[in-house]
Amino acid sequence: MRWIVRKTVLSVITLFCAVTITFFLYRVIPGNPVDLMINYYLSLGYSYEEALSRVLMMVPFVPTAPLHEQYVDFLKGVLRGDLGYSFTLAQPITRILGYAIPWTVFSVSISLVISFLLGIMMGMYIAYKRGSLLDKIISFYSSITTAMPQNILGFFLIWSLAIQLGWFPKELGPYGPRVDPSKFNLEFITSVLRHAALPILTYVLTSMGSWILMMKSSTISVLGEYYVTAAEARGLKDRRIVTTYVGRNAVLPLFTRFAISLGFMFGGALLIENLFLYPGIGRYLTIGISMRDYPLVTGCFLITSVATVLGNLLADLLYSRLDPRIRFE
Amino acid sequence: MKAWRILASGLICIMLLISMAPQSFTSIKTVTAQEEKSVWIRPFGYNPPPVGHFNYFISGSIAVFDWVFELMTHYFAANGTYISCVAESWQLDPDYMWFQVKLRKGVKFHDGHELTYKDVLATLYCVYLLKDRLWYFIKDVQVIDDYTIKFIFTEKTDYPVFYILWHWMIVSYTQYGSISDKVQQRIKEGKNIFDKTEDFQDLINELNQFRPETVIGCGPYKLKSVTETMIVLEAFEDYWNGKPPIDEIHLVRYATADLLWEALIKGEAHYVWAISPSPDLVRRLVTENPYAWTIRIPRPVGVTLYINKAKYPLSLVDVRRALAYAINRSEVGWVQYTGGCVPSEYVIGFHVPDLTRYLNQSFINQWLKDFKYEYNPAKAEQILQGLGFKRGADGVYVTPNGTRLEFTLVTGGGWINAPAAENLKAQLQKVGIKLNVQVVDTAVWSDAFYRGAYDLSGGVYGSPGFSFDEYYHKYMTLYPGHDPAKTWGQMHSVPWKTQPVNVTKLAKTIPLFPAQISQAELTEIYSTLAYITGNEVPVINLYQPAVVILMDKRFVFPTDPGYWNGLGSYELHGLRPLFTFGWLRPKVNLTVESVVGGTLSLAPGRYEYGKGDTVTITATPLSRYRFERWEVDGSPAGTDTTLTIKMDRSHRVKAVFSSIIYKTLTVLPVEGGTLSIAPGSYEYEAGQTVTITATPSSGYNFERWEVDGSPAGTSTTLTITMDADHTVKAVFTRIPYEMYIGIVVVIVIIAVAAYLILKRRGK
Repeated sequence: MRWIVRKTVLSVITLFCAVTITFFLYRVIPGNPVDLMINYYLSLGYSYEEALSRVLMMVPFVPTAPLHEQYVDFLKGVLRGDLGYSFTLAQPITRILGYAIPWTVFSVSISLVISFLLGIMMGMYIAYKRGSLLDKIISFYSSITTAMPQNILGFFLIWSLAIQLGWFPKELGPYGPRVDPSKFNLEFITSVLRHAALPILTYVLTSMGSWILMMKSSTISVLGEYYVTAAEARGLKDRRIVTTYVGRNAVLPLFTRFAISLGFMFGGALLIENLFLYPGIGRYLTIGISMRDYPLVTGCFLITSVATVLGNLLADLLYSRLDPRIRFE
Repeated sequence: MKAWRILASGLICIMLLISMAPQSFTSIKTVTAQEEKSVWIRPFGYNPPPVGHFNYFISGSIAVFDWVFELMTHYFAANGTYISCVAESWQLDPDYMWFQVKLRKGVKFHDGHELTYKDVLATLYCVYLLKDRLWYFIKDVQVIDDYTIKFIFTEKTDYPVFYILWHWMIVSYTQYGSISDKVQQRIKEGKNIFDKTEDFQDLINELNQFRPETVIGCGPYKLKSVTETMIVLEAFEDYWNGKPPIDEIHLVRYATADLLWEALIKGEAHYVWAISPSPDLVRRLVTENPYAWTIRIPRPVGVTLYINKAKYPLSLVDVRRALAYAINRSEVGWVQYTGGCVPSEYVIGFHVPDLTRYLNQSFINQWLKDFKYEYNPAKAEQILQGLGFKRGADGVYVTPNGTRLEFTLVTGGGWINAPAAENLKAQLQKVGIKLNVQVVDTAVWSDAFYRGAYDLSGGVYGSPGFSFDEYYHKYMTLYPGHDPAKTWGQMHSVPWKTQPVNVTKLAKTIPLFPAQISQAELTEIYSTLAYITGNEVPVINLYQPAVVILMDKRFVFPTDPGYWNGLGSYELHGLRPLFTFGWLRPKVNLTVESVVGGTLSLAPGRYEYGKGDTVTITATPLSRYRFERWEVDGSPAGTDTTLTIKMDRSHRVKAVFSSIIYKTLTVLPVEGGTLSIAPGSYEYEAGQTVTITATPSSGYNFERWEVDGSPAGTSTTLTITMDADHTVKAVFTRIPYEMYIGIVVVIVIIAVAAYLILKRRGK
């Protein structure tokens, strides 16, 4: 119990630090939303005074106020559940996040689970077959896709599978353009699944490689352990050795990362969401960063931070369940 | 555990199966529904709800307003004329102190209510909360009647006219009325937002936070649906100018430019407005898309190089001039805009193609001839050497006080892109000027720009007719780098004036045009500012990109370049008349079927017309044929030889002629009389009745008719039905004169005999 309390306190402190750093970091980098929005209105033919007047009317905080005052206001808001107001999108941050999170969680969680499961299975397989042609091919694939930007592969998949072959809808977005999203019916569900297929495929293909490589490395390491040799010497069935002795031990380090990834999942997949017009957190984070929309960026990072910290906590708890050698104390 | 695995695997399989299912599974119904509709598709960037919204006055809105809302008039920048929309008429006080607008009656909003002064005021009072410059000039608003509003000005001006008539679209009182009424009330209470914003802060917040569920206007299209990737607008049945000819407008979001161009090339989108797209894409578009119609139009804005005059040695005008000579504007322009651009001919701070439109040619020839700054690196170096600068060991010039000619170019916001910046660097290196290029994002760039934290920076210049004063304002006063108090100085001399002029004052005077400035005065201001800019070189005009517009030939649209040239800046607003006045219409086909027995004024074939056109066709039967009727789409459509058909959709037209059967009537020669039809052969339409009258000559009597050799009556008039060929003969008989003479002779003989007998007896 003491361990849980200690971990929880540590998590809160971590969260506080992450949010604080994010808050200040984005406010000290060059560029500010007022200038950007002034430029926007100038481009529409407004005079500078008019543009400034319009922008100041829309900015819900005083951008010239001292940073510490803005910070205190922000913290007070967070404690009240008010993450602020996006002046770029003219919406409360909670409303934007409320809309974006389900899409991100839906697409990224499925992708993450699939890539994790496929990754550990393939990683373990090629660890057993190390040195074989298959090992070389899969390892090469893993190295390439791990380094490849997701949007490049994504664009290739859109081009080939959607546009050229027509297997997937070439209208991107989370559902078809003629589907009424207010009706949760079969047409909507089908459309959502069809439109999610390519983003998920992109995510799986690009993230699976790292799981494969980690699992391969971990499995090879476990295969060298004496208890595996002992199990083989005892004449245990291969399947039991693979699952109970090798698999379970090899996957342990990956679980920690998986749990953290679950938290990072709330940060969305920036490149994929922007490419596929997916209205997830990643898309709004991009808008926030490019427009110096501080509340929006801070809100997105707050969610990601909370989820990551919780993911870490979950990993710690799970680890003790998976590995009897680990105890809370 | 096994069950969990099976369940998970099953779910994944189902998901994959569904995702790979044929697309028609979900779209059959929609496709069928779409077939009968005319749909215009254009790419459109927007943030879908709930993030995007429909508050017209606040940023982040989904900009469908140019279709959904209506303007008082449409303004044509090219010739400065207004065409009536919902403003039926308007009048500006000859003394520029008031402006009156009369609204068109019977204009319906999408929610059914009729446009009145309330809707106009709802718009303008919300604009008031934006502290728009329009309201600087409005002292009072008087409602004359439901359809007439009079604006009283604070001073002599015509500035509000443009903003009332064209700039702001009319929102619905039913949506914005509650806010505008409160604004009006506050103003009545003597409060003024320009004096004390706080008095209106709650209303500003209310307007900021107002999120209408939909958008209600009186424009040609109403909002039908919004999804993540498409907005559908449908034609408004009760639009004041008649139901628009295009049934739906689809505004489609494309994830990347590649996908957008792929759709355009395949003809899946009907319009694009693109700044200097790659020539390869345009080539593919016009060769692979048979319906592509493109036009290249000039932009009234171009790219300029701002020079921070606050920094030595850029504070020396000769160094700025050397820079101008050192840059090949054509080369750098084509590096940035591979799709084409026009290098600036003069360095005068505004859109050079407009030069002769705003300045006298004699003035240009006399005073601006030195401001072309044609590419001349030798001259650039000559100027630098004339200042006593010497090349250092690395080839970079050094000033006499040891300052290297090494400058930082901060570029961002897309004004000067990275390749163009590198090209500038390479060009300046040749003349001994080192350029450090910093390519940053828009936010960092604008931060540096506004703080003057740069030596050189990218920016824009505009046309005199497009925020000209604002650009000069920027050059001279706005940015710290151009602080007139430090570097520029407000007073400048021009050779044709005896007194120095205040450039800031001149630039700021223009917004009042033309009420307080005559055209001659305006030309004088432009001339003065052009001369000072060319002489002082606070900016170097570089180039202006071209815009390529694609239209789809499956629609009828204006092809006059004069119309499209006006869309260089106000793209969406400029497109409005296509929809307001029905200038953009889907093409419909008229198929004229081939005919036998006659000719048509429109030869048989397939013709394209704009939906709503009226077509007139005339049918002329050939000899021995008769025009029977028109058939339109298989149904009878009149027997008049002229058909007028409204092309509300595609039609198939057929003219039906029938051949005429003739029968021969042979009238045989006659003796003893005449006939109403002279002897001979005649053709009559089968079934026709022919009447012949016989008139006997003197000494003859008509005896009978013989038709085909058989007696056919003794009346002098014969009516014969031409059911077959007939031969008609009239029979006359001669009266016997000999008999009458014999009788007379006998009578005479008898009389003579009788006389002689009586005479003997009397002896």
